[in-house]
Amino acid sequence: MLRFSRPLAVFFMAVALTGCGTQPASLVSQPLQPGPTEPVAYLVGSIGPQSLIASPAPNQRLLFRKRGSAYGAAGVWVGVGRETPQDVKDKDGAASVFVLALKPGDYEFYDFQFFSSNYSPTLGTTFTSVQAREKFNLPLRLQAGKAYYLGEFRSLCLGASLCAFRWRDQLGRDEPIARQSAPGMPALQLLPLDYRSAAPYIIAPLPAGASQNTLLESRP
Amino acid sequence: MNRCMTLGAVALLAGCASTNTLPERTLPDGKDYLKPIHVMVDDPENAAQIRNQLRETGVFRSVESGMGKPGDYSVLIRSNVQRDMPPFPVVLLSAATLFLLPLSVSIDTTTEFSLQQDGKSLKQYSYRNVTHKYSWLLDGIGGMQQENTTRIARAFAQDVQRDGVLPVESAQ
Repeated sequence: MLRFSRPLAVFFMAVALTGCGTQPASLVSQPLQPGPTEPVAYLVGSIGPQSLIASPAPNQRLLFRKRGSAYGAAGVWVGVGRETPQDVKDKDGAASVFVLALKPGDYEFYDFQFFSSNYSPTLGTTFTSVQAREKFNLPLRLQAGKAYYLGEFRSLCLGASLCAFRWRDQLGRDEPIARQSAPGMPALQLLPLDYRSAAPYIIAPLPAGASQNTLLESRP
Repeated sequence: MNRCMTLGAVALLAGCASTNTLPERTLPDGKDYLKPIHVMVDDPENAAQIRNQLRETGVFRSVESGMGKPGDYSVLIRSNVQRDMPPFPVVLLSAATLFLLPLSVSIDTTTEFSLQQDGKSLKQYSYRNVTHKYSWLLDGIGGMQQENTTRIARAFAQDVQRDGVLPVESAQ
C-alpha cells in the first residue's frame, strides 16, 4: 500500500492550495511568446480595483495586441475563485503585478475589460462585460532586451457600466514584485504614454512639463 | 466503407468553413503609422464596429469619429450589405430538423471609401466581398459579418498605405 510521509502530505497540500488556487496575472497568446533562446521584451504594470466596493467586477483586464495582427496579451486581476496573486493590498483595494514576456516589436494598448457574473433567482446567472465601444490606440514599440513599466491602473466604477482606470507611477513599489516572477529581467524603465487619447477610460494626472512625454500640438 | 467515411468527413469539414471572394491581406509590420483619419459611416448602427476594424489594422495612428478640424483627413464610408438566405420552406425544414440540415448563407458587402481633405476628394476605393458558409446546429453564422467586413477594412488599409495618399505620421 502506498503511504504518504508527513512532509510529502504537507507538500501536496501546499501545492493543492497555492498551485490550483491562483492563476497568473499575465496572459500572452502563444504566437507572441518568445522561445527559450529568442530575444524578449518585458511589459510590466499593475492592475486592480481602487476600492473593492466601488469597483465590483471580479475580473478586470488590460488588453494589448500585436500591431495589425489578431494576437494579443493581457494584464489580469481576478478577485474571486482562482485569484491572481494579490501583490498589492491597500486599505480597501488590491492589485496584481503583471509581467508580460513578449517577442519584441510594435504593439498597441487598445482596450480593457470588466467581466462579472450576477445571480438572481428570476434570471439565473447573467454575465456582463464592459469594454470600450470605440477602442483607443496607445502605440508601444518594444525593443529586445528591455523591460518597460507602464504604470499602475486602478479601476473606479460609477454604477455597473461606467468604469475607468486611474493611472499612477508606482515603479518603485512594483519593480521588486515583478522581479520575483522574472528574475532575469533588466532594469525597468517607465514607458510614458499620452493617455489623453484614452481619456474617458484612463485618467492620468495632467502632464506637468517634461515629466510626461506628451504629444505637442502643432496645429494652429 | 472507409473511403465513404473519409469523403464524408472531408465534406463536413470543408463545407463548414466559410469562403470569401476578397483575399486576406497581410499588413507589413514595423512601418510608420499614417496620419489620423476621421471616419464617418452612413450606417450608424455599425459605425463603431467599422472604426474598430480600421483601428485593428494597425495602419492609422488613430481613427476618430466625426468631422475633424480643417486640414484633417476624413474618410466617408458607404456600405451596401445583401444577405442571402435559402428559401423560407428550406429554413423551416432546417428548423424542423433542429438545424441538422445545413443552410447556405451568404453576405455580399460592397463598401465605398472616399478619402477626403477639407471637402476635397483625394481618392476613392471600392471593395466587394462575398462571404459564404453552410451553417448548421454546431456551426452558426456568428462572426460571419465580422469576418466579411474585417477583410474589407484590411484591404482598404493596405491600399491606402501602398498608394501614399495619406502622409506618414512623423515619429515623436
